[in-house]
Order: sequence, then C-alpha cells, then structure tokens
Amino acid sequence: MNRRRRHRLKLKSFYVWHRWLGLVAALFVILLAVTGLMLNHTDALRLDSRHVHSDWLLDHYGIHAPATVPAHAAGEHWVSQWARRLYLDTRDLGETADGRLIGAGRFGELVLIALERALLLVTPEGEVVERLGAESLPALPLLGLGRSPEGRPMLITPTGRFVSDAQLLAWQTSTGQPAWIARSGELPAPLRERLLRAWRGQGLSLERVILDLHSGRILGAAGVFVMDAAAVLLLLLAFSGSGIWIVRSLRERQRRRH
Amino acid sequence: MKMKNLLFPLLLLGLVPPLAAKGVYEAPAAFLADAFEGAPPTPAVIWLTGAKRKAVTQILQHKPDRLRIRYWARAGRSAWILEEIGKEKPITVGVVIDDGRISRIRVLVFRESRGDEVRHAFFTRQFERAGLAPGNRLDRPIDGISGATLSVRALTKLARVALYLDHQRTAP
Repeated sequence: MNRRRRHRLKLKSFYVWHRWLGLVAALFVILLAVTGLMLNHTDALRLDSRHVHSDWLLDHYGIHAPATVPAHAAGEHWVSQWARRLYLDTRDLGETADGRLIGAGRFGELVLIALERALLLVTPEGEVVERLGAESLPALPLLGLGRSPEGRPMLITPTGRFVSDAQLLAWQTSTGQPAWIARSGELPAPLRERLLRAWRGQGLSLERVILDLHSGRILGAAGVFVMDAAAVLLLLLAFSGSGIWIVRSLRERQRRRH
Repeated sequence: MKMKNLLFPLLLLGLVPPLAAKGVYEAPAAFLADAFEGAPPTPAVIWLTGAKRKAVTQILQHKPDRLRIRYWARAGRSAWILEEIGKEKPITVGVVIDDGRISRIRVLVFRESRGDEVRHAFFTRQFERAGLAPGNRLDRPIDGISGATLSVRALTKLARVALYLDHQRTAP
C-alpha cells in the first residue's frame, strides 16, 4: 500500500467517524435548537403561565400533595389551603404570603377567609372583594375567626377579641364570647381529589420543563453531563469538519498544480 | 486579596448572586401614620364597578384583582395602599395625594428579585406634584430606569390609579 493510498484511507475513516458523530449530534442539535427557540420567545408562547398536567412528569418532579391541607367550611362552600395556594371550592384564589389558613365563614353574601396575617373577603364565585393587611386589622397574628352574637365578624388575636362593623372598616375590642368560631374540617373526598389534580398542575410550568430539557437537568445531575458530552461532541464535529475541509482543499490545490 | 476586592470581579462573572432586592421597606401602617401625623382616619372604600372598573382596567392594562379599594382621607389629603405586579410578584406602594396632586409615593414592600431601584428617592421624586392629565395619564413624563422597566411601569400605573380614584372620591 503506497503512502498516498494509506493517507486516503485514513482520511476516509476520519470522514466516517465525522459522519457518525454528526448523526448523534444532530439529535442534540434538534433538541437544543427547538428548546432554545421556545425559550427565546417565552413571553409570546406564554410558557411561564402554561402548566404541565402530565401525572408521570409531575411525579418525576416530586410534586405531591402537601402533608397537611387546612380546610374550613364556609356555609355550603369549602376554603382550603394547598401549601401557599388558596382555593374556594375549586376556584383558585392564587398564592398567598399571608401565612396559614386560620378560618373561614359566610358573612352575608360574602365569604371571609382569615389567614395568619390577612383577611380576605371574597364572593361565593371566588372573586376577591378586598384583602385586609396589617394596616387594616386591629392586631396580628390572627388566631381565630368567629362571629359575634350580633352576626358581625370577630377576630381572635393574642391581644384580645375584636368585632368589626358591617363594612369591615373599623374594629372594636370585644369582651363578649363569640357565638360561633371557625373550626377546621375534612375536605369531601371528591373535592379533595379534584383539588389535588388542580394544585399539582399549578406546580410545574412549561417554561421549567423546557429549561430543564435545554440544560439536561430533566434527567437530574446525569442529564447535565449528557448535555456537556453533547457540547464536547459538537466541538469535536466542528474541529473534524474543519480538518476534513482543510485537508481536502489542500489536496485539491495540489492536484490542480500537478 | 481581600474578600471585598474579589466581590466585584465575581459579580461581573455572575458567580455571586446580587443582594436580595426584596423586603419590607416601610410597614403600611407606619406609612399611614406618617401621612396623617400619627392618627390615620377610619378608612373608606371605593367600589370598582361600572365606569370605574373600566377606567382602572384601562390604566392597569388588566382587570383589577379586587372589587373594592380602601383609602384613608382627611380634608384634602388621601392615602392609598395599592399593589401591582412588576414581573411576577406584587409591589406594594403607598401614595399620598394632596388636593389632586401626589405629594408622596413610596415602595412599601418589594417582592421581586430585581428592579428595586424604583424605591429610591431619585426615582420617586419625579412623581411629586404630579396630577392627572386627560386620558388618566400623568401630567409629566417619568424617566425609566434600565433593568427596572417593569417596576417603573408598575409604579407609574399605581400613581395613575391613585390619582384617578382620588378624583372619583372627590367628584360631585
């Protein structure tokens, strides 16, 4: 075998390697390009507000029901708190940073929800009428929600009991006993099941999944190494591709000279 | 090399997260006490229904997240504690209005991780003496802050909402 033939065979085998590496890398290029394009247009595609409902993916991310779900009956309605998210029946009232659910009750047409650091007034349809924070409450934290003998909302706090006016605008100290106190209860099983699905669905945004696909983190720590390997593969391809091109163009030039 | 000498290059490299921007900068109750010389009046409420809801929706560019807004008023002064989402989380802002013009605006609680530059006086000073122009706009331009565009937008919207609601409160 002469020198030129050996050289040609070597180049051919190098080219075959380059081709196979390219085929493997193509899978990663497609994945990175598609997820990268999606991430570049997160707002337009509303990736952060869309949620994943696939059970196996939610299980994969370890999104399970919270250990305890405080729940209170408010007339014919149920108020429950799943981690930081509040629900009135199946209506999502959003996340709250106002602490634990203390109590809930029906006051006239509206539902009053007491959290440790705020009071929420909502319609039975789940529309928030008002959120009363520290500036509108007589004392914090709230320990309990009750009803005065006159039917007015009563707050139980470490510094005493307070009864509000009908509009929840002014609070007065009360020495009387509440006629009723909100007590936690057990959510009816069908409602609990529906809420579990709804809550788990809120826990994982499409943006998170796409980001994790892009970085490889969807496979855990190993996934990051897989994507690192893909990056090295792409570098190898760039070098081998450039090498093949240089050798070929040099040979072409030599052939033309002869 | 001392640690503080290392901090800037590390920040440039993105290896050290920026100091948390979020926090309670002024308790809403303290803001109200300050606005009314230590004795805030009993609050009143304004219902966001009909034309008011429409106007507030137009200012916020989304439906308001509650049906009624609480305010505190005495003589020509009114104080409002409002919330608007910057990027992801609500920013709580206190606005004091004297005779239809903003006399004070403060970021009370900032929950986002970036964009808290809006709480500084160099920014909030721009709102002082601002009133409402036709179309429920501010009667003066507000200079933005690069990197805090959404927070600037949220504060500007809340200033407009407070002025609009104050106008509704005093309208015959």
